[in-house]
Amino acid sequence: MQTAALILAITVPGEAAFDQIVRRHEAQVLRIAYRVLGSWADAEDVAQDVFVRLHRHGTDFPQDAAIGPWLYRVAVNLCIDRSRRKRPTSELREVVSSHPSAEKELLHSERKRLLMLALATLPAKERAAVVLREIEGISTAEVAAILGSSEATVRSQVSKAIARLRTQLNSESI
Amino acid sequence: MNDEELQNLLRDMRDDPVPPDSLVRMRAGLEHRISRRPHWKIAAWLVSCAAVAVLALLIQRPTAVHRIADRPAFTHERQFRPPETPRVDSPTPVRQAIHRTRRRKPAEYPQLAIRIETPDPEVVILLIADQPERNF
Repeated sequence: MQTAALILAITVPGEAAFDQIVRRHEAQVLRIAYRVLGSWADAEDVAQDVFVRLHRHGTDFPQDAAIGPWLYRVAVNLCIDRSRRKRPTSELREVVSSHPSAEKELLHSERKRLLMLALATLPAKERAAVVLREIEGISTAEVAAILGSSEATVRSQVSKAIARLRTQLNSESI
Repeated sequence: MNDEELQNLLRDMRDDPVPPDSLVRMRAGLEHRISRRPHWKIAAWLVSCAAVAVLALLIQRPTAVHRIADRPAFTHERQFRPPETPRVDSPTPVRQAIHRTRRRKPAEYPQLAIRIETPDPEVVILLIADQPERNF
């Protein structure tokens, strides 16, 4: 038993560093995957794949700041692959609030739900660009690096996506 | 909804919390997948070691211990036969020897010359024989 534990320790170096990275980035990776895929179950699968790849790749990055973009790039690529394989769907989560004066909150939640549905109709790359830049607040340069395209392309994708979202939300006006 | 409202809504989504059950499920799945890999590696390592050991045993010549163990017990009734002489078949038929007689070369003999001097000094009889069988 001791030998097995020793072998495990040898074959999996930097386990503490790996755990730290997972704890630091798991929520954001999950959120990005959810926004792109529209389903928490799919987002969990993608996040697992992302961290399994990180485990295989190892935690030796030239700079600590390079880990985040690397993780988001892997996550977005996996999401795009997955959304190409099956049509994007959005979970219709039931909005229930126990708060007594929840009318405004309910309206806000409903708008978010509709926004998620509208996001699901966008092409995968446009959706990823909007999620990364507008929702996650990542800079255009970083989004371009993550998506493997130019900054101009990202700007164009984001503006096109926002125009489409606005049209769609206005047609369903709440 | 105008652009500003839309962008505010998008920005608002940034702070949406991840459902705790999703985080728990993701962590559990990740833990399972990562801990499974080293076990698989260990199993592969053990199998390869076993394969090498079996290969080494197969390559090794059988030892005396194995032969004694495999041999049936010795009995006095056992009759020993002289080993049969192995029949040796020549792989290719032998061709009969062809005896050829060579023509003998004629022996070379030294020429025989008999010089007979007569009373006349200017007359000399010279007898020359080139073969010894001939009689002159």
